[in-house]
Amino acid sequence: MRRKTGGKFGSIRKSASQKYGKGKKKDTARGFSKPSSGSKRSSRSDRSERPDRSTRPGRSTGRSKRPDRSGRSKRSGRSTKSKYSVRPRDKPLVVSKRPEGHVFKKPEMRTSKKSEKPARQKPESHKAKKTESYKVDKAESYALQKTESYEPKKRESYEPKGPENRVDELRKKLIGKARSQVRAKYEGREAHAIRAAALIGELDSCFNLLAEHCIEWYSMHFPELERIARDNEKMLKLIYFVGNREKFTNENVTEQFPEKAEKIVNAAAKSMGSDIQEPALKEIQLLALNSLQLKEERAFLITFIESEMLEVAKNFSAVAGPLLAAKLLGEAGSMKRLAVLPSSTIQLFGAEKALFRHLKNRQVKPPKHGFIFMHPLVQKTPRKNKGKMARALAGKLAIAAREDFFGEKDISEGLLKGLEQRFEELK
Amino acid sequence: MKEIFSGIFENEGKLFTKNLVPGKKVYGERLVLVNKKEFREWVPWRSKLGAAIKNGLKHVPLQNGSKVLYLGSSEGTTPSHVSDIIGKNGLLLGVDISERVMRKFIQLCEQRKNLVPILADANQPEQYAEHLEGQAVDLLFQDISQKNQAEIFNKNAKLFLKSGKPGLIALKAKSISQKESPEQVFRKEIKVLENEFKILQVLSLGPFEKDHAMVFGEKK
Repeated sequence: MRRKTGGKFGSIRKSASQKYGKGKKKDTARGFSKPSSGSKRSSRSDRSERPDRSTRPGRSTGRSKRPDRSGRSKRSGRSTKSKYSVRPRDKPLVVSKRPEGHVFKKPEMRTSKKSEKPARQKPESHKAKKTESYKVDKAESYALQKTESYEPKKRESYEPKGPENRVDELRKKLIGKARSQVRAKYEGREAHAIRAAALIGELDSCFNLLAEHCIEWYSMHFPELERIARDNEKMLKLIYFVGNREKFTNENVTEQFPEKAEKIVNAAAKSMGSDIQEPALKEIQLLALNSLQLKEERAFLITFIESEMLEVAKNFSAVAGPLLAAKLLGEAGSMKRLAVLPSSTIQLFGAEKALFRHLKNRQVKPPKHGFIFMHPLVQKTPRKNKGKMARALAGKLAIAAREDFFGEKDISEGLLKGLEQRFEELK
Repeated sequence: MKEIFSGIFENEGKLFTKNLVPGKKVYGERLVLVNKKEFREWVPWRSKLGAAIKNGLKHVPLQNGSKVLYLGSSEGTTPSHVSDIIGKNGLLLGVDISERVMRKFIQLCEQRKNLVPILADANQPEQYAEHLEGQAVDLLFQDISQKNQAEIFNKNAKLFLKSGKPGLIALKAKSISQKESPEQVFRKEIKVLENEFKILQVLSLGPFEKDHAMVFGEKK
């Protein structure tokens, strides 16, 4: 509203204020729905016109809060309001009634010296009015007073008696409950496999980034290597284990590049790169080591996912392959949810963006596969049939997930057989 | 430092609330000392209520001692400011369904004595109705990105809000429909809200949030 927002919003606001503002001027909404002219400045000045808010900020007993209260016709809300925030003002009222009770010798214990004063002044008129009905009401009204005065303490009194404790108790109880609920959510075994699967992609991109930097740096020393090697991991190993190109021999290069060793050694001999100092080379080697360790971590994670998925979802991971299975599982959130999903949803996991693009604009074709595109069977299918293969695979995956969650049998063989068959048809 | 609403301060175009727990930041916001009182900056880019106030919300139905039901409390960015405003006599019940964000919110609740966490689905208010012990609240606030936002809001209002009490809801157009324009979506949602509420103000949250609107209403 402060800046000029587009016509869209401008118009909706306008219509809203017309709608809600004009018709209801006589009752409650008056203060709120002064037709807004759309600029911030005007609304500010509205505010400052009201004395309550800006000039007397200290008052916050609830009554002074709402500037437009007077305009409200159907505020039966007053009584409800009092329950929470206006108590202290009502309190003296309650006390001043009490002396009647005093006359009738009941709740004296409560009446303090202070409250006796109004008692002396008032009683006659009260007596005259309702001596008869009083007895009946008394017990009730006393009980009422009791409960009412019980409530407000929560808000206004600062002594840490009853109600304060009640809020505290409630708080403690609910915090404890929320804690245990959070804990229960993390107790599912599949959660760990899901985490690991989510990490793998990230690790890959980290490795690529570091490797790129490392190779770029090393290329100042030996630029030809990148063209010949074409394999980041092996190249990093060569950098880490050998380092300076002058040390390249057939032996130590063969370890990483058995076929290209000779070529590399030759290239090293007549390289156009500059010589490199020991400290710089050391930095490069350390960088190579770090990125290689990421690769190692990835391998550990894969074995972890394999073993974990075998426990959690035997059939599902057998059909999909452990990594893909963990990814799909992560997208579904839990084994339970995965087991009740339709196969079409499983087919499109990971292709949400394309799906919504299609839903928004029907001229864009719908996606045929999401994560399951990386399944070897889908990969091998020729392009025009990939969609069909993906559909078949998703169907089998849905069956497998259901068996895993609701049953105990190992049906993966049959499922895989069916898939192979379908693959032969589509090949 | 000028108090523009009860407990909400403004200085040089920035919003502040008085820090209930001096010295502690909640989400990396700035802390400012004025007259030996510590204020926390309220970043409208992070908080939809902050954005709404920035954009000219005419009335903020919060005050010292208010009892608030906050649906979609998330990690507690906005609730922390509400907690500042309602003070230690107030109470904020934060409902969220995701345990991921709840674990941060619980930590915030342990720090601030007027916050209470509830891990539950706002779509089924019966689940947590017992915790409120049948008491009504002073304000119902909702910031949930669900398709049936308005319905959820109505359901909760029916249970916890008395007639005449205020409700604030942040509508997210994109989680309701990708196809329709935000304007259309808001019209429809407001129509749904009108079943329970008398709408007093509708305002866009741009530029802080894209395709969002804050609706301020009063229970019928």
